[in-house]
Amino acid sequence: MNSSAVRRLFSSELEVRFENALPGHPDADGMRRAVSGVEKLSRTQQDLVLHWLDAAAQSSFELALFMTQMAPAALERLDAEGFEIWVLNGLDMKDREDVPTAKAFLRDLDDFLLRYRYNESVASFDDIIHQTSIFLQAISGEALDIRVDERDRAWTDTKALYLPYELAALPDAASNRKLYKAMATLLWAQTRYGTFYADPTAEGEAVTQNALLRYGKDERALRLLAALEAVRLEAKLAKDLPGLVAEIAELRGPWPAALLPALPSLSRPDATLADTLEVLDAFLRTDVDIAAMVHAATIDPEQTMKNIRAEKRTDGRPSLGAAEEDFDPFPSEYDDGEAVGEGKEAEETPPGDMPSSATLGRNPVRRNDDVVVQAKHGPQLFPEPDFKYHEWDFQRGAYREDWCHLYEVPVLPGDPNYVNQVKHKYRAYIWQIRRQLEMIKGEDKMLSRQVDGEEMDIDAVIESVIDHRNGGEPSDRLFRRRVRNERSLAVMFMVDMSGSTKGWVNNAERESLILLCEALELLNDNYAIYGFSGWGHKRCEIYPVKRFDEQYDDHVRAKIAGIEGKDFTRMGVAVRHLSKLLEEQGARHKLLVTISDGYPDDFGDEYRNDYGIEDTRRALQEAHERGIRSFCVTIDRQGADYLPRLYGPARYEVVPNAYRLPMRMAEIYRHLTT
Amino acid sequence: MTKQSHITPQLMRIDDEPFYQPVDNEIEMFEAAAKAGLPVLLKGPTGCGKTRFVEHMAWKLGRPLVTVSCHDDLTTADLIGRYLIIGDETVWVDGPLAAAVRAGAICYLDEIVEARKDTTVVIHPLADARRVLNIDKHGEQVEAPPEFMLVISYNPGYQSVLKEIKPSTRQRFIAFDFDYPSAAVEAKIVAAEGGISEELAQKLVKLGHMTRNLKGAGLDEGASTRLLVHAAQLIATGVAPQAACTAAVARSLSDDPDMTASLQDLVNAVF
Repeated sequence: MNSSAVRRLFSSELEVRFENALPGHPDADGMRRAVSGVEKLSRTQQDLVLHWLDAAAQSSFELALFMTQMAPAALERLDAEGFEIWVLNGLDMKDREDVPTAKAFLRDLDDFLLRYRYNESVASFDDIIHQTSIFLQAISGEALDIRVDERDRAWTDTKALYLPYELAALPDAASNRKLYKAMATLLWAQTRYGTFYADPTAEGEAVTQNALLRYGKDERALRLLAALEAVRLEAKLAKDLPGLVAEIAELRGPWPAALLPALPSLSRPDATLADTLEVLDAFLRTDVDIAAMVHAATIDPEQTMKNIRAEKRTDGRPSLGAAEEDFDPFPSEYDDGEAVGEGKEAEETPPGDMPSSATLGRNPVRRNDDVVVQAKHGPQLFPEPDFKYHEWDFQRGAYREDWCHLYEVPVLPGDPNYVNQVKHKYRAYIWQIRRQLEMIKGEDKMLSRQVDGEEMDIDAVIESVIDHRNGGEPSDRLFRRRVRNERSLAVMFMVDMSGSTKGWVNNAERESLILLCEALELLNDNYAIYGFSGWGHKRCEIYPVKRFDEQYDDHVRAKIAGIEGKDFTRMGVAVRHLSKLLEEQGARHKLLVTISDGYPDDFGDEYRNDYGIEDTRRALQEAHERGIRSFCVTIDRQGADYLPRLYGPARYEVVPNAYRLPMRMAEIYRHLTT
Repeated sequence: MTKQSHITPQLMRIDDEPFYQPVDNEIEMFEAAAKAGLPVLLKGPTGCGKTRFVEHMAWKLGRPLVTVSCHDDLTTADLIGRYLIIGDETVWVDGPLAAAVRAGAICYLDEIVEARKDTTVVIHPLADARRVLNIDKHGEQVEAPPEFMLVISYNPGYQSVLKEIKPSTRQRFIAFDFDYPSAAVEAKIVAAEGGISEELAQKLVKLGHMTRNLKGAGLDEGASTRLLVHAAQLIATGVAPQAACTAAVARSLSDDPDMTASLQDLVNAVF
């Protein structure tokens, strides 16, 4: 039914709604003023205001009432969406500051409109990252690392795509979002179609150095280079993605007249960077220039080459999801391959017997460089470990007995307000996922052929009559009974607390856990949360966040807030320990969910690469044999081609971007357990 | 035992050749399994051609085909049969499995993991050297003729941990791995089935491949060959390619607004 067909609410009806929303609120006069304002609105608007009255009343009666008083003025100038943003901003303001500040904010409609209009036209990285990362993964076949550029430029170092935080180059937000997509796709195309490799047969670095670095910081040359490459790449993309190229063409408008002579040669399907450079050099001999083309992004050869070289120095090892804060597990002085784990001294110590310091044993606070310094001074004493586990050595084809020493280390409580902030941020989503889970929970099961029950089981009755006629003994199980669906499920969440998670990944993990807990409380599923990290096989650590017998209370919430990135990722021992804890649960179905941000890695070279992958795989296999099903969630923006091998017996999902993790986790959980 | 009426359903044979594009040696292997009287397990993602393959083989071998889509309420009686009262008489009615065994047909149990565990067990004696079906209700043991063949399928992709095929079941079957065909073959299939040009079919397949890149990254599975054929069939009726892909691919793969929007971007990018 069309809402305009419904009549407006009269003041008497509104008064009832206000009193229900704000029971016992003393400001009768203010309430009357609000009602008389709201009475004049259309029914759709009235419903909108009443909806937000209820929502705001949860937070503050005073603010809710004030909002309804301001609502008629606000709705004169804002549509429904703008109104919601206005109210939500007011509520946020109250949470962050206080009620008077929030009221001042709501009162200043002019200021809000100014910023809202700007926000209407601007697109931000946060708006587009989900969609763009999915889009690029689909066309490229791999999860790409897409980041915000600190200097608000769009460029690529061939490992990651960097985009500005905001785009307002075009008049409306929708176009700016398309512009983001165009930019990101062209940046990917730069890496795909050899912008950084002039001659595919030549040795990459040498040629590129000569080819691109000679333009140095010549801004005109780089501007022209970016535009000419955009011409060439557009033609490359046109073969498979003609629709996208049409969209890009519309965004950029016609090419600048100065570029027209270059179009025929660069639009050939077999054009390479060499063709671009030929045209560019010809242009540079004249005084041709163009304005920078926004969609073409920027090409900064010096910066890119620096990163490519840095990549080579680390021996081709892909940089693991090191989050936005640069986390370097090795202090810089060892970058040149002289780190203890890589240098000569380390070779003299038997593999895996990484000497370490007693002070590291149980102390959660330590500095990386202390360790390296002390590591040079022979082995020291460790306290007796809480547990010892074997580890699979794939080269020997045998277990190393009691190899990993596991310590249970308490998690220090974090910011007590953190959980509430996250709940507030995701409130709409929590509500949605709870509703979905409610449906699972509400799914009752019909048991047929019961001795007693609510209704006759017709099939059973017919059978019993037949048995009787045939001279058999009729069954007395003739009823159907409805029972609560017993899930009998125990779930262990194993959370990566290695150093590489510091920053966004850690935050995404914590947010995911909060969303999961909020949802799981509803289902009564038995679950536990443990973090894991460590430093060498002599000091593997496990951090209980929530044990199976613990309630999800303020204490647990504070511990979730306290989850932080620590050291390395020795995964096998954590899987073994946690699957043992899980096995002790009585539930019929046992599920181990791991959340990590890359492949297993530990101090020194030993656990890295195949050894760690094989050990983790083995541990998951052992768990599988004991009836534990595993699901591994990886936040990895690299190619992640090792995952099928690593997770062999388990199922897994790659979440290409930490942003997506919280929402995705709840969905994965729902999918896995229904 | 008193003489009782007995109804067994008539089974249909497939007269016209169902289109099937072989990918590997699966046709010869299936014929060999049929000759040796071995049951067959088909593994593969949804919509990659498992059911069509079985139809094609039933046609090729000239045997009737009985297909049962398994679900979690499927009881043993639903497969084997049950007594019904007709007038004043009790009548035994064969279920699809019993009918298939008697007729020497191919019985295809689709998505076997969805069936209850106690139901799956009734196929065990049929799937080993005994090749018999026990009908406990009236103590009958039906011996399967050489033509009878049991085929089951399941999708090992994304599924709940609560559902898995038991080793005691799966170890009775010889297994075929199915996957989406190579791009060239798939384009041929989409063109032939959908009635569109091969050039257009290649674009659809391109789109299909892009969505399959998202498997495990937000999508449980990418667009199946079947979905691409659906899109092609819509296009063949005169629907614009973009609109056809929106309906047949983008909206059908996901409910997540972000994901649907990205899929729509892909559709727009390809056409």
